Amino acid sequence: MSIALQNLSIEISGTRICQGLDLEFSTGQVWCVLGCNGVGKTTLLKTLAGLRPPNSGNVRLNGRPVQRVARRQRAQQLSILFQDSDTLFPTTVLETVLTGRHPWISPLRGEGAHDRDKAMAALERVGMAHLAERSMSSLSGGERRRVDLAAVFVQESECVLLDEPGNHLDMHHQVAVLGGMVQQWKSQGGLVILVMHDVNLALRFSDHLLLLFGDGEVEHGPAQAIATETTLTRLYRHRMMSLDSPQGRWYLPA
Amino acid sequence: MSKTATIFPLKISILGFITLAAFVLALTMGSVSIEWAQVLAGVRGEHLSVDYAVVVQLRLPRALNAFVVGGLLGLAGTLMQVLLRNPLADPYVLGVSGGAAVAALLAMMLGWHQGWVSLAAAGGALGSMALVFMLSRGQGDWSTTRLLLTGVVLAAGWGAAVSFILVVSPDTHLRGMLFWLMGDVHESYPGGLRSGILAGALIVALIFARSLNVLTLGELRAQSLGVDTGLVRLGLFLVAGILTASAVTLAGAIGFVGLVVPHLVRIWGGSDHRFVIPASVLGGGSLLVLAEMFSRTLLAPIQLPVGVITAFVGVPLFLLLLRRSTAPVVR
Repeated sequence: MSIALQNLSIEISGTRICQGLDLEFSTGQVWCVLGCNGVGKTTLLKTLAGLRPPNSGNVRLNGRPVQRVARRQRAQQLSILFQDSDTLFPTTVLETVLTGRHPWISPLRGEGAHDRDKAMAALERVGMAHLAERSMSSLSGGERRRVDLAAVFVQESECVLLDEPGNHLDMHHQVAVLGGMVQQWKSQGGLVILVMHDVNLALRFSDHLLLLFGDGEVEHGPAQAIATETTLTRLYRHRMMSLDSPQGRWYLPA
Repeated sequence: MSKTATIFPLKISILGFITLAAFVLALTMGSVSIEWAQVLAGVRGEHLSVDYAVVVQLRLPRALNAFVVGGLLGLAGTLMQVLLRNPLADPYVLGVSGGAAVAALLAMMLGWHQGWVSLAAAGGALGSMALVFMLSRGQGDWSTTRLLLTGVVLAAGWGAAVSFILVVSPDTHLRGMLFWLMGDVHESYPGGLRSGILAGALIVALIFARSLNVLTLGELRAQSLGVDTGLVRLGLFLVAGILTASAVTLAGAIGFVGLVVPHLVRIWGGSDHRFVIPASVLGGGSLLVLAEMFSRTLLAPIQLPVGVITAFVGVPLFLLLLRRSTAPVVR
């Protein structure tokens, strides 16, 4: 299982996100995409998921152009958590999580006990099982985020793309819920690509970094080699300092 | 859903019971009181009485007509709301009924026969819907706001065209035109075509019900879950258009059923379309059967157009729902 970028160029309304990029994301890796607001992290993620065509070049999911993989098969292999979620009509927490099972249920059948068990287990994992029958509109931002994470979790795809998964989450949920899931995906041989704001959380979760500088320039590689004061200062256009502690290296804006 | 899924059959049965009760009321109530023994004798072919004629030739066909029209409109409204990602949308908001009305009035002005007027209305409905979609489809992208605005503006345009036709038409046509505009049901049985369209659309919609659930979470989310959103939306457009055209040609412009019924159904039973779709058909059908009954009895012997009754019930109910809908829905 892999996502390979070949000579990939993406532009959105005049902003060049990447140009002629060749890169392979492979299973067992956790990648984190970092960059300032508006450099196109979300657009990159949507392109990887095949939801948006690149300006040129190719995104290959297991060797096949991602936009040509059959929809249902693609949804079984690749899931994506969006930055925001919306609900048009009143739905319950459990119903929302069960939508993640959609690609696995044959079109003419409904969810079985098996799917419901998975959904309840995922809700248990994100600490929301007791609110399973609650309406989504009655939840707080952080609770919604955990439900959305559970919906991605039950999709059981090997590639998982997460756009700002830590948004609205309390710090202990970021580490326990999100960190726990990322660990499990990685240990099961999955590929996780996260878009994050928090450099320290990114370094805690990921082993590889992809930095977008906003002018089409990118840098990528193993996290420890890429994350330096100089590079991060250039990335955020603000002086970044490192701080060593027994738990590892931390980065702070000066 | 473990809880919810088992509740669906119960709630659908309750709606079935309500539908049955509505039919009984519609057949019983009226300016003439019915002796049921006489009707049964007529059914057995023993003795044909006035009671039998009133029930079988007048009240039953009107009630069946009302049910089919209500079902068509309820289902059309449900599908339109998913398509437009807006719980307040219905075929009428998009100007579909306006297009049908203009085409029908033009046909009446030209002195065409009833059958041709119906056909013209169907053409107007589908044409108006295609127009809304073509105009609102920008750079290959579907924008809901633009779609809704285009529909509203077109509806206003159709309204002006209707006024124009009414003013220039000869007086002899006016009464018929006004009655048609307000919507009413006929004293003929609904026929196989409309009933078939309703049943067919119900089955197709049920097959795609789970995809519709996913689509309400957003276009991109649905795509990421493997739904061919382009295909589903095109299907929604066509099916909803055909449903509306069938309803309009059967009973003229009856408003608010497609708006209010899906709304009530969701508040009562949740938003899973495997429930909402059949419930909207039964709910819309029984609502219109009752509206038809009231249209005959409220100011008897004057017979009101059914569209007036649905507007009297629908407008305040909808405004009430609109006020309530800002509060989080807890079930």
